[in-house]
Formats: sequence, C-alpha cells, structure tokens
Amino acid sequence: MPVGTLSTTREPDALDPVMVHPPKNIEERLRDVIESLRSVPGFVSAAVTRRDGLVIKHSFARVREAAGLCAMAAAMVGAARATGVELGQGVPEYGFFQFHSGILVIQDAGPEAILACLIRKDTDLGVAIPHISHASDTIRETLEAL
Amino acid sequence: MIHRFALSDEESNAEFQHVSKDLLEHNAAQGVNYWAGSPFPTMLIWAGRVYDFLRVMEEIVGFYPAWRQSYLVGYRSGADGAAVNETVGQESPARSTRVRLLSRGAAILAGAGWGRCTIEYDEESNRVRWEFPHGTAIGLAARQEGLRTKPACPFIAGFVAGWTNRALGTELEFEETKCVGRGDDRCHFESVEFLRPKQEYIE
Repeated sequence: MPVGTLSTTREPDALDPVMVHPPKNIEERLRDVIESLRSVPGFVSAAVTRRDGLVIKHSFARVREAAGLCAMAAAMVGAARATGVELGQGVPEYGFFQFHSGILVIQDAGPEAILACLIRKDTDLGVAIPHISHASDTIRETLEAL
Repeated sequence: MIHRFALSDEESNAEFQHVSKDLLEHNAAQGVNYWAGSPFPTMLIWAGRVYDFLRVMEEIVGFYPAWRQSYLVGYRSGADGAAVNETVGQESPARSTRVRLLSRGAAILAGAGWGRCTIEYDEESNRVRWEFPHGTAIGLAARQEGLRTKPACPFIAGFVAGWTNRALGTELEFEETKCVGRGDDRCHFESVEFLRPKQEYIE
C-alpha cells in the first residue's frame, strides 16, 4: 500500500489529531488540574499533552487549537531536551515563548505528559510559574497513580 | 472467538503478483505509476527512506514526537488502504465483513513488500496483534544501519492501527513491543486502548 494513497469518500480526516481518546478516568482526573490553573494570574488556556503530542485534556475553545499547541509543545520539549543533554546542561525544567499578545509556558509533567499554559502578556512570570509547576507536579502524580 | 490470519509462501507470492503487479499501472507519458485506479501517483521507495523520516526527526525533537508524526502518516495509509480494499473486494460478499477486511491487511502488506505478518483478533477482549515473524521491511532496513534502542516501525504501527480501526470500527492504538531494528527476532504490534509513554524511550 503506497504511502498517502487514495482520496476516497472517507470519514473524518484520518490525520485528525483526535484518533484516539484518553480513557475517561484520565480525563476526569486531569479536569481538576486544568480547572485549578484558572487561579494562575493572567490564565488564558491550558492543555495537557501526551509526550508524543496527543491532546489529553485542554481548556481551549476548539480541540484543533489545542492539537496544534500540543504537537508543537511536544516537539519543543523534545528539542529542548536534546539540546540540554548535548550541551551537558541536563533536562529542561520549563520554557516559555513571549508572543506579541501572550506568553506560552511549557513544562514537563512527568515521563508521560507535558503541560502547556497560555497566559496574558502582562502576567508576572515569577508569580505564574510556581502555580504552573505545582500543576505539572499534580499531573505527574495523577498519571503515575493510574 | 479468536480469529487468526496468516499467509503461506504461495499466498504471499500470489498477493505480490496481485498487489505489486496486477493492480499497478504505468503511465508511460508521465513515467509515473498508479495503483488500483487511484489518481495518486505511486512509486517504489527504499524501506530505509521511510525509516529515515523517523531517524532524522527523532534527532531533532526526540523519539515520541517523531514517533507520532511517523505514526500519523502510517495511520492514514492504513485507513485509506482498508477503505480502498472495501471497494476492491466488493465482488465477494464475505469480504464485506469487518473481520474479513481486517484479514486483507496481511495480504496487502505481504503483496506490497512491507512484510509478511500474522494477524490475531480476539473478539471478546477486542485485542488485536499483528506479528511479522521476520520483521517489517522498515525494521529490517533499520537493522542494516545498526541496532537501536527504540522501535523503528512507528509508520507500520500507524498503518496497522489505521487498517484495524477502519476495518473493525474501533479506536485502538498500537504499540510495537518487539522490533528487529533493536535486535528482537520479530516485529510485534499490540493493540492498546491508550498508549502510555515509556521512561526509557525518553532518556
């Protein structure tokens, strides 16, 4: 079967990022973590992604927004990790991008997941990051317990 | 009930004749091949080049993000392949059944030169296994470049996931639990409801 074969009258795009849904128990346990992030100063939205970039849980209006973010977050963490090891600096603890209109904070959440949190540009990162770190610890513990 | 599908040497040869020869048409003006009436060009490509997609990406972004992109492309190929085979097999009512379509996956993969496999489907537990006793073409290509510590065939894992889900109407993921590319004696793909990343593949 050739790669990328036929355009048939198939159902939803097979490349739809939601090919598989996380088990309900994982989704439910992570809902509380996402909700707790609403207390982060300047919070806009957040997503928990599996290490490979699959969306596990998010608070974005549309899953497609979360899917794009999760794929990028996984790739960025992977690239940062490879860079840190190459430079002898160990693994990254967190990273952030300041965009024109907001800040994206990305943090490892254990071996299985990554937390990506979008906050407003005027947010004090010194205040927000401890909240996000706490949430990522909770995600790691939650997934380890399941 | 457990279904098990495997091909003999003769069947593998027959599928090669059918899939890689009979269904392949050459457009001499374009110098381009087409398969099974598809409007999309089809070409021969070294299995090692498919492996390179994974190898190059994982050097940049790490195993799991690279794994997923390769898996997604394989998934589309598998899902589309199963969809086309629903059409190709319409002359035989038996082939319209989901299980029969699942079994066609083994024939297509052997016929296309991707590897000869056995498919096992347990209806009760809804578990599916695809096993390539001699490895997939991609796993064998990876082995040529030296043993790795992680599975080499996420493209095939995606393919079998796409094919299985399209055939059975399931929503399963597939994990490669054995891979000739890392020194195992076979490539083995096991269905899981939700893949849990492994620490040793992240380091």
